[in-house]
Amino acid sequence: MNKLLLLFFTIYGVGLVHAQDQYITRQGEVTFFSYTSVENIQATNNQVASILYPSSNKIGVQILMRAFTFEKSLMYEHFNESYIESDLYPKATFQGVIVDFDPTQEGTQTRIIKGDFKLRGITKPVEFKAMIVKSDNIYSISGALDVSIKDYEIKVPPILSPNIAKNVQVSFKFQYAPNDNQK
Amino acid sequence: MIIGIACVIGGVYYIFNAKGVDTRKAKTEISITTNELFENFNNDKEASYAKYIEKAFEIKGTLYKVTRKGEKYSLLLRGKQIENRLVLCEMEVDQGPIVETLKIGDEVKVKGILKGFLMDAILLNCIILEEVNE
Repeated sequence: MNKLLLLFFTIYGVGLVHAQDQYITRQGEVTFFSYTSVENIQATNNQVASILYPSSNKIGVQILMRAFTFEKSLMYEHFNESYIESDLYPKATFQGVIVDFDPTQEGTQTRIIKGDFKLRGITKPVEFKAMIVKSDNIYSISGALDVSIKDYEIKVPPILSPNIAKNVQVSFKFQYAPNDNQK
Repeated sequence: MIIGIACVIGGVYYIFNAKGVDTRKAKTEISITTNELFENFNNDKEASYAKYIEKAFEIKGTLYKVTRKGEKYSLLLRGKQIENRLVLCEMEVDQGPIVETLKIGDEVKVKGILKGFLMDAILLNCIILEEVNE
């Protein structure tokens, strides 16, 4: 079994299963939106790693915070240095399960994903709806969730408070291929 | 006086609207191959290369895969190792015409800004420095 994947799931506790049951993406997309009357801020990360275990419905995600790209470099600096503190907390992670997932079903199914989202070293339970499409042994999973900046103790200076939404919308798109194809 | 005010306004405007790093102008902090990168990984790979994060990083490796999202290509480079370790380079938009000339298996040297490590080493704002077809 691939040592890196073994390490990934040893660390994140998603569990170990046979290699043929692993579906991975190393270029998942996560975008966040902060909408306020003063300013809209959007950033996208196209280098998100994730592993899906269809037989056990388990899913694990790793997001490198410095890989978000912004329209303006000052937004990037504020995000990494002041809000996320990426030097201390370089990654966000999610581990969870897809409720009532049928991995054999071709086409589209809408399911709830439940799990723990860890950001800035703080872990909170989250639950959100996702659309799952299976076609030609590829799973595509997309959805969105709201993240409260208060839950993760993200400190915004009072002068910038009107510029940052209290709840940030996070959307994601992952396309998983069997791990054998990734070698 | 007016010129001074104009300079201050211009400076503030520049700071608030700057688009980000220019990889071509960034000073290269380290230039290595994918083999050297992965050989030098210890158990705490992040610590091994932490000092290079957000710095210009040149890496030479074998082109394993090319992906495209919108206008941006990404190059996945690998070394000789059997393990599934790659260097993932998200290219600048203007690199498209060069990327389109590459073939899987080419030796490619890329310069980008190191952002950190997940399963792979991740570089953004990459440009191709040289291509050696072998």
